[in-house]
Amino acid sequence: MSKYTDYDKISATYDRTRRALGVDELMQALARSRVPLSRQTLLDAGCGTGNYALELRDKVGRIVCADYSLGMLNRCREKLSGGRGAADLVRCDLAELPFRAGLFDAIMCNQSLHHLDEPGTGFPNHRRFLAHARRVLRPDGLLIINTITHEQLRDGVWWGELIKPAVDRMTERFASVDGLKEMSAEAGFQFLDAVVPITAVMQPKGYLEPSSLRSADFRSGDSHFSLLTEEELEAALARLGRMESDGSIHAYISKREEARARIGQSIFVIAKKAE
Amino acid sequence: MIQGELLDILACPSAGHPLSLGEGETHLICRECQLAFPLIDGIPVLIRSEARNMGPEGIAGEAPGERRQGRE
Repeated sequence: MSKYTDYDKISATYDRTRRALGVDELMQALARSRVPLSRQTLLDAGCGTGNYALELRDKVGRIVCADYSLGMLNRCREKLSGGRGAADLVRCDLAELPFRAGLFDAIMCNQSLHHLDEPGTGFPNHRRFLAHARRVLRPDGLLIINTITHEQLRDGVWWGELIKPAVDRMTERFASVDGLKEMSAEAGFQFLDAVVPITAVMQPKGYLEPSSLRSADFRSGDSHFSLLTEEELEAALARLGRMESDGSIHAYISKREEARARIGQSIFVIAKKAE
Repeated sequence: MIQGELLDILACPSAGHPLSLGEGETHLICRECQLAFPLIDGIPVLIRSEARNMGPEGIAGEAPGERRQGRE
């Protein structure tokens, strides 16, 4: 379950702004399997509203969609109903994957791990997830973790500099890529690659509009804002307002976007179950 | 209410035991742990805190499970 965001509540508005980022890169990662994509059994660990499952379900043999939030799972079911290859849905805790051993050809975990642990705890639920992930994968099975580097947390969205307290708090919830590599090696995985989908953004609608930050719907699509106090949000919006008034906002966004274009917003960490 | 193929891949979150469909098809049962996990609109809720402890009498009252593949 998310330690800091109410996804049952957010499920009503999440898809107004969020989209699945990096589907091509994800499919390339899945293609590393010995099993052709069309015959793979894939676990979508942290499926949310099913944005990634929707893109993959016509291409992958079988998808099992798992999430803690009933609200998100219901959205996922609505989204996937009526199409070819209806997915299985399971409500569970990612740190206690309720599946039999050796089932899955691959597991994808998209933007979910950072919800599992409180800061400063050493990521125990990440480790539990990794242990279960190894157990439920077939030999040579793939684990693909879609996450955000600490640099991307700061500079992957143009507003990151306006909400620095939230960015600092987010950074404590995200294991670094090196940390993930270390934890997954301890759990019995072999690191294969880390790939950044560089060209797109997670919230394309209104992304470059300064006024988007004033929309609660838009903010609910970026869980940085869940970690911002009311006062901090007011201060950020006040600063935004001053830049809009003095005309500096567009140069500010352009400059911030130069960094984002270079580093991307997310990263896929790809690993294989080691013998 | 639940596809057989899905039941075949599920396991008790507590210790990985196989599950069976309970009477009335409203729950999934782990006989080893004596836990009943709810099925809500066909979605298995396999979270320990959401499970009901059935106790030995509760388990005895359930029909013998048909799906009892051993845990791998």
